[in-house]
Amino acid sequence: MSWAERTLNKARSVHSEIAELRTFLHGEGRDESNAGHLFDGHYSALHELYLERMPIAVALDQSDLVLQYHGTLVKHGFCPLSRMHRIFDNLRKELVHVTKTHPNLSAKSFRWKGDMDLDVTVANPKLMFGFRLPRPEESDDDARLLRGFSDPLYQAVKDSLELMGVVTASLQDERPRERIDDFARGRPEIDVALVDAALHAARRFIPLKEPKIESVEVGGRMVPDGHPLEMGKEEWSRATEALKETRIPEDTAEVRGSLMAVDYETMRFELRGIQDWQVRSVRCQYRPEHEEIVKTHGKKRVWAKGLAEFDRDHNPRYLIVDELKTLD
Amino acid sequence: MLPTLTEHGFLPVPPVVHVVALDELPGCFGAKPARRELWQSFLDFVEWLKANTPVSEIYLDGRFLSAADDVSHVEVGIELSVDLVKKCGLDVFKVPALEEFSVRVRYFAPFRPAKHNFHDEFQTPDPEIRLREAPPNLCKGYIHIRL
Repeated sequence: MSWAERTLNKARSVHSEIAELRTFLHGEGRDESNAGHLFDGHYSALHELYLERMPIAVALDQSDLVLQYHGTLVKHGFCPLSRMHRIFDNLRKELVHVTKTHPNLSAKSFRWKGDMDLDVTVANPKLMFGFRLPRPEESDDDARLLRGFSDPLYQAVKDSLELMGVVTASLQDERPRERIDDFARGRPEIDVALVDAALHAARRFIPLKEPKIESVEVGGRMVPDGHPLEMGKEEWSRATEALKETRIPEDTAEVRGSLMAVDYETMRFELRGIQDWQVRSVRCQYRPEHEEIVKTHGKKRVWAKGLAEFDRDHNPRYLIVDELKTLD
Repeated sequence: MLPTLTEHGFLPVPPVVHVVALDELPGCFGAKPARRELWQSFLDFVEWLKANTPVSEIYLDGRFLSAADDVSHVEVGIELSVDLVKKCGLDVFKVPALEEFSVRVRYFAPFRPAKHNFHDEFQTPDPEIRLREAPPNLCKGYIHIRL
């Protein structure tokens, strides 16, 4: 039985008890209009079930990834549009960013297509957001049906969401990298760049800088284990530490591309529109001495050289920048 | 004494209904200030019940009995009876229990609907994200107190 069905059954019980109470009062010759106070608790319970519990039930039933933010802001039940937009936009950006880092999408033979985007299942002002993989079988689009589950784009979205679940769960561990490495073993598509992007995204999910929001609870079918995942300051610190533990490669590469998607805290950026290699983007880790160029050359073309992790086709995927020069 | 909460944070079943005395309960539902305040308000409501009505037993349910963090009130169920209504009427229950005692009172008729009654409702957990991996037919216990 789904959570929505169980919640509906709870509501049915309240309705049945209301009817039984009404019958009892009539049998006792009591005027129901003078006994409205006896029903207040029932109506309050129905209000809570339909308006507060049902959205959570639907989210649990339909979502591969659910995020519920907690804090005083959420208790009001209303949220300023700008806050709602900022939090949702951040989630969307990070999820799309992780997916775009997937080797299937990083390769030049594929492009990100809007119709392979994640579906939103819930987005409400109590700051609960649900996402799910698009279901090829539910689409009227014949082309999507043909692509189906084995399509590389679909697989990229699925892998990325699944990895997000594992990374989130790993942040409950003292050493997150161990769980992530176990998951990545035997899956060449879960490489250094994708793990780095997923750790970065999980860290960005944690709302440390959002006033009146203290933590975020993460659930959904893609999150492993049966334990609640509450992410706050501690998990944020673990994600930061885990990002520092990204394996240092041994080979070197030179890459030219446009400097995009900078994160100054974790000192990461992406090079996109790559020349000379058969990949669309390369994830980069820079050092403090590169910060001036990073700050002033967003969306501009740069040249970077450093130790690099390569994919199976010998294209760079992750670069620890040693030298950085401007090209424009 | 009540058993400890299950891994999902609820009173275990069986039994579905845990029959306990009120004086066995203090301290069972958390030491956080908000929970202690709720418990004290609930005790105040029980005192009010004893002083103003012939109600002799109540049911206790809701998120207060679980490991949930966001708890705003205690859920109380009272089964009315013909005698009880004859003795004290209905107006006495006009007390705004939620506002004054942080207690949401549900008044029930003496007889239960055959299907979908409050016993079914009280043993069904509310959906929470932390329960995403819980068994689909997870049940929880609730409390019956003789005052």
